[in-house]
Amino acid sequence: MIGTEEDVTQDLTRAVGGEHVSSRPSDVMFYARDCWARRHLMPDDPPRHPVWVVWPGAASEVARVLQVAGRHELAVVPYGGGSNLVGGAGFGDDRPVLVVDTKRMSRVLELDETSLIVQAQAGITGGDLDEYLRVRGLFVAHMPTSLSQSTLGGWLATRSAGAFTSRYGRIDRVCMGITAALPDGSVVRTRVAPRRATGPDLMHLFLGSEGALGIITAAHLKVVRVSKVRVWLAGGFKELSQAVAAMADIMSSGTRPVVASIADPVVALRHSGQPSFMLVCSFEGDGELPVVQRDEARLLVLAHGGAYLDPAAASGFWTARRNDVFGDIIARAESRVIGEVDIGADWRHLAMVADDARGRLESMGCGVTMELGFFGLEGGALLCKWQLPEISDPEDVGLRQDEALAIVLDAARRGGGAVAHHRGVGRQRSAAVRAQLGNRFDLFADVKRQLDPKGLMNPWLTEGA
Amino acid sequence: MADTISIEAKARQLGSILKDDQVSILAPDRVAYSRDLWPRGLIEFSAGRPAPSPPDVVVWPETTQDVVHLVEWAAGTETPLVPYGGGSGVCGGAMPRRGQVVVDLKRMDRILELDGPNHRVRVQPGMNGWTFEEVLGRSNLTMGHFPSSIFCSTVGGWLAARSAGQASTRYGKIEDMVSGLEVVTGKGEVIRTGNPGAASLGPDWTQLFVGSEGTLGIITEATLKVLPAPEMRVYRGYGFDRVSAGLEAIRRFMQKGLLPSVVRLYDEFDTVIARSGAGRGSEADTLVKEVMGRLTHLTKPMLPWVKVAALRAALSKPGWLNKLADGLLPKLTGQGCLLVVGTEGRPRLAQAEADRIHEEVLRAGGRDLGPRPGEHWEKHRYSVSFKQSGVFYSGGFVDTMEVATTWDGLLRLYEAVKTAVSPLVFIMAHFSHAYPEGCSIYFTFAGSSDDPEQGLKLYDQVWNTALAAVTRAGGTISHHHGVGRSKQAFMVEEHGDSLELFRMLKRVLDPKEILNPGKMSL
Repeated sequence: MIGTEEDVTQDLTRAVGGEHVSSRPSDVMFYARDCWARRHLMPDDPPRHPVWVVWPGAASEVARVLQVAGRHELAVVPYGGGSNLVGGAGFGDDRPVLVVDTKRMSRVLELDETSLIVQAQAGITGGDLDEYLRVRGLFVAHMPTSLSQSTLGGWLATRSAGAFTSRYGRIDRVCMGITAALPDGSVVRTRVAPRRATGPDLMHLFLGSEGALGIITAAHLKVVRVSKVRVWLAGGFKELSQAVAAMADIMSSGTRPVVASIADPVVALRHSGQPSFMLVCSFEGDGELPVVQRDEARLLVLAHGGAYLDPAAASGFWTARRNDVFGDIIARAESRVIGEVDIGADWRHLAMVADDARGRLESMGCGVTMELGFFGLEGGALLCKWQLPEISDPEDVGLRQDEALAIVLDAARRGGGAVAHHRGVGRQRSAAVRAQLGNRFDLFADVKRQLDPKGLMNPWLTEGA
Repeated sequence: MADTISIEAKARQLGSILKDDQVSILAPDRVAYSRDLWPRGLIEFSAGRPAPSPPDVVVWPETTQDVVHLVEWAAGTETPLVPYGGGSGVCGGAMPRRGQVVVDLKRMDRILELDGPNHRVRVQPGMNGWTFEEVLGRSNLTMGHFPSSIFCSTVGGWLAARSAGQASTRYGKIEDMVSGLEVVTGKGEVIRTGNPGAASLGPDWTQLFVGSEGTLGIITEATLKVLPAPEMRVYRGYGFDRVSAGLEAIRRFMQKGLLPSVVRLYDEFDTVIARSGAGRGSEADTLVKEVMGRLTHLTKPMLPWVKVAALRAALSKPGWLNKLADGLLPKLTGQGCLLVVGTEGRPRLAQAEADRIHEEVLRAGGRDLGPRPGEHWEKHRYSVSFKQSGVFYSGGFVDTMEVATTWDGLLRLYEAVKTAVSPLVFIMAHFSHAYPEGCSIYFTFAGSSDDPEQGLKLYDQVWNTALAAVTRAGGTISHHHGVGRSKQAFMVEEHGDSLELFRMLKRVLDPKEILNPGKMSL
């Protein structure tokens, strides 16, 4: 750091106004972490926390804050809803840290109802954005479980996925352009067009960069009109591999399901009364088309040996899933003995990866449930949840959790899949992801050096590269 | 420096890297690879300059390792490389200059893995578009990518320029179909993007390399999505009095989540072209043929000289022609604007989707013209870009400009370009490649002059005027042809300050600037 803490505080005050700068213990302790369970299990010793938290109100203020950070060579951690489950907003070195909370930038800047595009500031929570749109008969085509807690900026920074991803793609397919403040204190805006052929799509530099290249301050997103008709399909399968094969066919059939999931028998039993793997799809639109889509998808369920289940089982599953609010996930994480992680695999390996992870977790004594979802044309994600067996020594819990996590990530690797699907990389699995990225990670670090030569932004993400 | 090495020395050095039959400095090869299908080059050709700046050497790598060695050599000698596929680009993106080496990738044309269960295929960049679809068709699969250049373009070229096919409304553009790439950077490094790093830390490199037109790396392999071939196609034509009404219909069904494979709305004059030879034999058609007969064959190959003279005479007064098309033509033809919509897929879905679109179009004021216009379109779908218009032999030119914007500004963009350009050339347009958020506009313009030198001047003036109008109206200067040389002067207006990010990527990936320099305003 260059200069004293007082100098920095003064400069930050000039940048955003005194009421939007804090070094109060209650603030810096709160912003010391996100929802990564491991921070609860194995807290830093001594505890680390930022020295300042600032709440800029506009892109220009973020730029000024980054100029201050540059002048004093601080480490900067962008912060949204703090709902990250993998330690995306945490600290890794001894440099004084400045947290930039984007949540004061929470306005909808423009709604173009003719083109169905909304521009909003990055700090808006999904819940607020969704509410703004719903009263106008619209919704944002992105529905993560963390909707009401997480922010638009957080979605983009982690390339998030949600319940509607199978139809509309992950957030990087919903986003049409971004505004970002760069570490040199400039503001850059990528232009919006339905499609273009004028070079790389430059917004992708920042999507998924987890705050290492700059701070996203606003974005244009596609929105969708709420449709009149929604019909459900539920299919029961004895084997997971059959359900996966049926879903693969549905995804390439042109039926375009909006909600698409495969539930574990344990979960399915609650809704269908059958202890079988349950395929769930919704089809949405106007008139007869959703019904025809459902009927076509049903044929594919039958073709793969599935049994046709009461559609109420599917809607029941969806309602339960929607009610599984983010607080429940946090509660499970804080229970210490429960863990979960998202991994990805292609159609040919999804069932294999699931069986592999389940088998090895069970031999550890864990109870395991799986949900498959977030599908694309080539495969999808596996949400793997486990509960550790009773462990006599509480000191042991952290290590056992690490072991369980390693098992699942290893299963993904063995199946040629992704060790991080949609919840970000953070500190939880940066080593595993680095190994998987190979020279792409070095390229990322090269880009970071260009945009952030002083290494201000989330510096430990690329440490050692 | 490259200039200090003679052509023969370059060939010798390259001969030690590649096999003899992979290197050529023969005049016919150098002339053949001196340009792509940028119409400006064709005007130059008619001006007696068939190869204004031939490359020094042409090479044909056969493996990724060949490309790596080429790039290493190029970096060492600071010799620029120009990647080359089918040479069907229309923006000068693959045009080399003296001293440069053309890297033709057409020998890397194999399918490496056809992975049906995962709906994907790994393919080399030199694969020809039509051959590719034929091979996929044998397994009952399709990419759904049908550019009108499909006979003469390659997979690598599609990716380099962010190509769009005629069914893009359903299947997406090539950037929507690609899930991974293998790229050799300007440092000779091999980067594999995409799966399994689908959601990993850092940028989506696939989306940064796609569309970079060979300036950031040479694509040596691609993983593309494939889908079951459609079992049924349904086409229907509709008439609208005005372009604006047709556009409103398209916007409505696209925003209802419907996904037609083909959407084409022709403005008044383009409608006449689109329906020429449709054989309806109506009175109106006959009348139009009386008035504009020769012009209806504007884009047909090799006009007889007699027709060329008449065409020249007509094109020399573009203002008059444009007015005629605007005012008189709809009255003469009584057909206004034609909208063609196609759906495809599993039979029940294709039909149900067509029915829903039908309802929406009628509700928006469209007149049902039945299946004929669509079937006619399908028959002639590739007849546009494969052969060149005879108008070039008369000192004139035909070119196309494909731009796009969001729905709120689409009509404004259309009018702005027409107004700006109509005093100079004859101009018509159709709207294809529709999205829930907006649509592209495909302008065709034809100009005439007394000699090729004048023709070049007019050509440049038209493009500058048109692109300035596009950026002023908030449109993108290219929807799917790319930038190359022809549009690079407008890259600043196109990207604003974010262009610096592209230049930053260039510094990271190609620090010695050996990859396709002089393009894209880098």
